[in-house]
Amino acid sequence: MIMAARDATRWQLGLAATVAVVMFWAQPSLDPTVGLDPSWQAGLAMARDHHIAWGPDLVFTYGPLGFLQSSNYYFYGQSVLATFYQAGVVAALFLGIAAALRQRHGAPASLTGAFVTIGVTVFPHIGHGISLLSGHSALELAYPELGVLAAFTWASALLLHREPRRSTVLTTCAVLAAFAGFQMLVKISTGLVIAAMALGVSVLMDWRAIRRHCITIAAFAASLPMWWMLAGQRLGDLPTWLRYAGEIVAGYPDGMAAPPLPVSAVEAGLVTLAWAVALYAMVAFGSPTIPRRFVLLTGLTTTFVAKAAFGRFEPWHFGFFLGMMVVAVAITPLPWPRRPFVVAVIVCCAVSIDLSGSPAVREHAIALLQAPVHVADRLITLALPGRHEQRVDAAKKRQRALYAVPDRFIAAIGSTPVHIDPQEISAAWAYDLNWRPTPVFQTYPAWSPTLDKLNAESLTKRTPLVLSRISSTSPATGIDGRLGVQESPLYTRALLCDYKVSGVENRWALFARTDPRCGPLTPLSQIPIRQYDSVSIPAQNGPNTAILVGIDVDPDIKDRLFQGSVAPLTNFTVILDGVVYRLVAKNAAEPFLVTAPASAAGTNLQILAHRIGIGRSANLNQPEVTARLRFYEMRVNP
Amino acid sequence: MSARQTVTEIRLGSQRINRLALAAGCLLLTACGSSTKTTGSTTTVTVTQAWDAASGSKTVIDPYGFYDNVIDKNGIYIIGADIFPGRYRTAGNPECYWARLRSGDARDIIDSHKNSGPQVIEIRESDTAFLTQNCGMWQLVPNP
Repeated sequence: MIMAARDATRWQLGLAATVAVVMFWAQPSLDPTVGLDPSWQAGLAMARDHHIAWGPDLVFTYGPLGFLQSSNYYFYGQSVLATFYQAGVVAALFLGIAAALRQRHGAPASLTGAFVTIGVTVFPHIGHGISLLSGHSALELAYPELGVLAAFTWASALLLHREPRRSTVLTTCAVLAAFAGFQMLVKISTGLVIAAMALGVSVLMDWRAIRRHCITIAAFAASLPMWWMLAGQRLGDLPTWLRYAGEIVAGYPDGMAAPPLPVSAVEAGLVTLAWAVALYAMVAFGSPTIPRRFVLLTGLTTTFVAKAAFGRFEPWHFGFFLGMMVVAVAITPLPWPRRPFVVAVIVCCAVSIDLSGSPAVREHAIALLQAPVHVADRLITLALPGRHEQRVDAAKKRQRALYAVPDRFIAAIGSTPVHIDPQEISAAWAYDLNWRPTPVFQTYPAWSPTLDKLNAESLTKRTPLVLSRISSTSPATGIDGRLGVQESPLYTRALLCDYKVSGVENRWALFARTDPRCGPLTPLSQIPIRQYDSVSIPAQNGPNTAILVGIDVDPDIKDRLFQGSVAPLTNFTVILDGVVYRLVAKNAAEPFLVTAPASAAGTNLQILAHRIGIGRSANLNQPEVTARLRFYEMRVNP
Repeated sequence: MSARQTVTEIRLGSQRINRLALAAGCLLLTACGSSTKTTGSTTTVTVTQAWDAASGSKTVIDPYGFYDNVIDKNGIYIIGADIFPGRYRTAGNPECYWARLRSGDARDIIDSHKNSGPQVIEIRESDTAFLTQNCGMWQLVPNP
């Protein structure tokens, strides 16, 4: 790796990095809470503790090392390892910035600049960053994204070097690639970005260095299985995990796109456009002080980070982009008078997007100022015997008070393996249940037929009990206004057909596996439909039958491009009795419940719709959407 | 992926958002061609009818494409996990009782009310839970 300083000794750098970690490792909340995001974090931690095999038994947007990004205290080992990883990421970012600055400045100036830059950069990475939601649960650092930034700084340090040695170039590319393999097991998308960055650096330094490119790729290819096994996974499961992980990553843009874009997205888009124009101008016109290859790497990183920011536009996702801009500007050898001007422009952009007037600005600032106290508290908690357990017990007690799962359900579950549906995985942790999830353990990322089928088969074969949190509305809704029974149609049918309701109480339902009780799907009718029309849903033939519908939507070119692939501007909707729900388009062809049998009463499977239509959430100067509805009837024995 | 909290936040200025987004989208896309394919034969034809715009007051996805939280069952709901914080309205119901709670305990009340008429309440992010009994449907309403 590049030497960060010529005259500063290693221990001085180490000391400076330690000080940076203590000052900027903002982590105000370490007690797990309930909800969608804390629940997948609990799932990642439990997967490690329960030795669940990633690939055949588990797949998510994070990997088997995903537990490292959570600061919450779930298990002692997880907390210790996460502490090392998170401190390491902050330190690597600090040292990377210092190394890049050292190419043009003296040691004191580069270290000072690194302190200032990391302080500014960490701010938008605190939890929901510039979205500025208040509440402690929203204030955790986004470590995988900071890892991308750290890799960017180290790569930039190399590209900013006037005449790096060939061995230094090779080492940097190989180390970045190896880090990418590790990071991919933390969060898949960030690992892929760093891998592209490593290869990009190798090519930018000399595209003819084929041997180095191959070594870079080999380093990534070797690192992935090595860390996979170190994470306690079987090597034979890696291909399966890669296949399903690819399915998750590929489906994310469509599955998680949440159009329409908020107004801040327009401003963010303008900022991004201005940034892209500036990069293009630097490449086109050149600058004697700014190496073109560094600008190209910045452009490559910008592409990935912008894709992540706009794929599902949320203000804090754009905060990561702003963080990258801050770091890039800080390490770019701009003439001194211009640098403060550019930084001021970025800050103004951030303010105009979301910062102004929000009380959460104060919370973020306080979180940053309190960082040293939190670091001390964390280290003490991990060092003093019994303290970690006390925190965990207290958090579990709080969660149990909120979830209030009926005692009889907990007694019935006992040590029997149980899956939590659809997303409140934290309940399994809070009640010390024997969690045996479906592979996509929260239902919302099962956004393709392959993943839906994987979940359905797992449910049928592996899981004796399902504990379901009942939605606030009927029919049940998922995230972003999805129709609950349409989100994962095969999974839902497996729950209906292979389980019986053991009880419904206090907004929980307990399902127990039983012999298959559904008959085959009997086709009833096929009906073409246009937007703004509705058709009658066939009547139920008695209380022990279900009516299902599959929707073959006819997307046009704009639907294909602007439902997430290029930008999230619109998506399909399904309309039941005049109420509009978001349609999970890739799963729409699989028949889903529109009329449930009596046995589903009180659960998230309950639905009784009379008329159905289709539409779009926004029309991009498109013709009316058309589709074919296929109705089915299915017998469900009580 | 904090979808639930996000939606509450991005509701701010949703109408402006939608118009801007749509205007930008339309400008960008007007020149783009589009293609549709027609569906094939059918075995049964059911007469279709246009939606009655006035039918029902329940809104999950509003006309601008935003997700609006709905509560239409009795129970205690955890803020942030089950429902978004924000402003909710109900048409009311006889014997409607609601309470904003500091914890999951129905007796740990921040504010409560028993009324039969239409009501608007503000569920805050700092609240822990919300209890509703016999109030019918609560609909999240956009911030003014």
